[in-house]
Amino acid sequence: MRRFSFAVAILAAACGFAQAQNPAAPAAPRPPALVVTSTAFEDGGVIPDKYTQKASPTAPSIPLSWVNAPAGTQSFVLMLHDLDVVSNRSMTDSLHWLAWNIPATATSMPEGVPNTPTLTDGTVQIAHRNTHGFVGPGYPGPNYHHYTVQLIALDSKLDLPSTATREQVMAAVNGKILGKGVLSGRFHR
Amino acid sequence: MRNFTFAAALLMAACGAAAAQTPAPSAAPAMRPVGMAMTSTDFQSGNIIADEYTGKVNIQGQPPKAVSPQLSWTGTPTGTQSFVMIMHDLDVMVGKGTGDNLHWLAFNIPGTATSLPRGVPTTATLPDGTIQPRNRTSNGYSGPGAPAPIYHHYVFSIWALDSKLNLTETATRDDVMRAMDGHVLDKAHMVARFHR
Repeated sequence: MRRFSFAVAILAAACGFAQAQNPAAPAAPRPPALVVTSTAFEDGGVIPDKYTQKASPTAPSIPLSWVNAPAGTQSFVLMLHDLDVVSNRSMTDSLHWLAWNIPATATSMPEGVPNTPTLTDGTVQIAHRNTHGFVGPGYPGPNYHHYTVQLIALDSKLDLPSTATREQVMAAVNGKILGKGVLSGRFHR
Repeated sequence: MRNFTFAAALLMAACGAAAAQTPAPSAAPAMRPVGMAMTSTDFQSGNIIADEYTGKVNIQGQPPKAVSPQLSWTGTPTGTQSFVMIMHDLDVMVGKGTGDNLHWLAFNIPGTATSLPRGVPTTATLPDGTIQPRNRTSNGYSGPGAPAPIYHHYVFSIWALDSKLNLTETATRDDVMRAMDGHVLDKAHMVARFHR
């Protein structure tokens, strides 16, 4: 009986200790999160005119690089959108760039990515606004618009053509996401 | 001759004005820039938000000390019947899905409101009819809590709707967003960055 009581006491102590430690905490330390940066502007900062419609309707794409791709990443999806646009009383906003099947080995998107449906490395760029790929910020002002870059690491590639819609791409990435990185920019002309 | 010269001048002026206004690659049809703008006396959009509005000042086991930042907005369109406030953390993984962390959800904010004070009570309902469903941890505002060293991006959004929402405090963010769809007149955003 004493041995049983002792075992129960040990178990109770162990459980109490685990509770105090916060049972929701992961057992192993998390790897560092995906981080996306640009040499063109600081996070939270203003996007330079060079990459916007203020400079040219065909302004070059913003250079981006990233670190800490999660283990198991098979591809990346990159999205740039303007939060401060409304359409048809709906929840959407304004897309400026959506690319997927960026190779898992990629650590950057250089400045001035071609506005083609696909890139030589297999990246697919969405067809929109009579072009493909990056369209520079263009809001006239006077307030700043928020242009958000989101890089998503996936556990697989997407089987979607460049004529897929933004909604189709986001539905396809759901359930495949291994990591996220965000870079926040602002702009007005 | 004079009439012709006058007409030509008018035409050239009109063409000149049109050329100046011709937009660069146009946005998709029916898209328009927001007419509303949101500001705060407690932080600037794009910048880091101070500790007092975040989980950094909370002590485990005690009621949260973090308070919601003051927010005010302009440009509310005619016909606005209510507002929705959504604040979420873009950088958080929720399983492998496209969801993220909800920090604040409040709907049926009166359509006459032009601000939210600092420190909105963290209750399921407010006296003015606002409803604040539960986020992960509480009703109402839950402060940012991202661990060092990576800044997370916390988007505050105020949405002006053409109706109230027929939902209760048990509504999820998905419920609210589905109900909002088709009723959005305008909106405004701010982005705060934070890590402990």
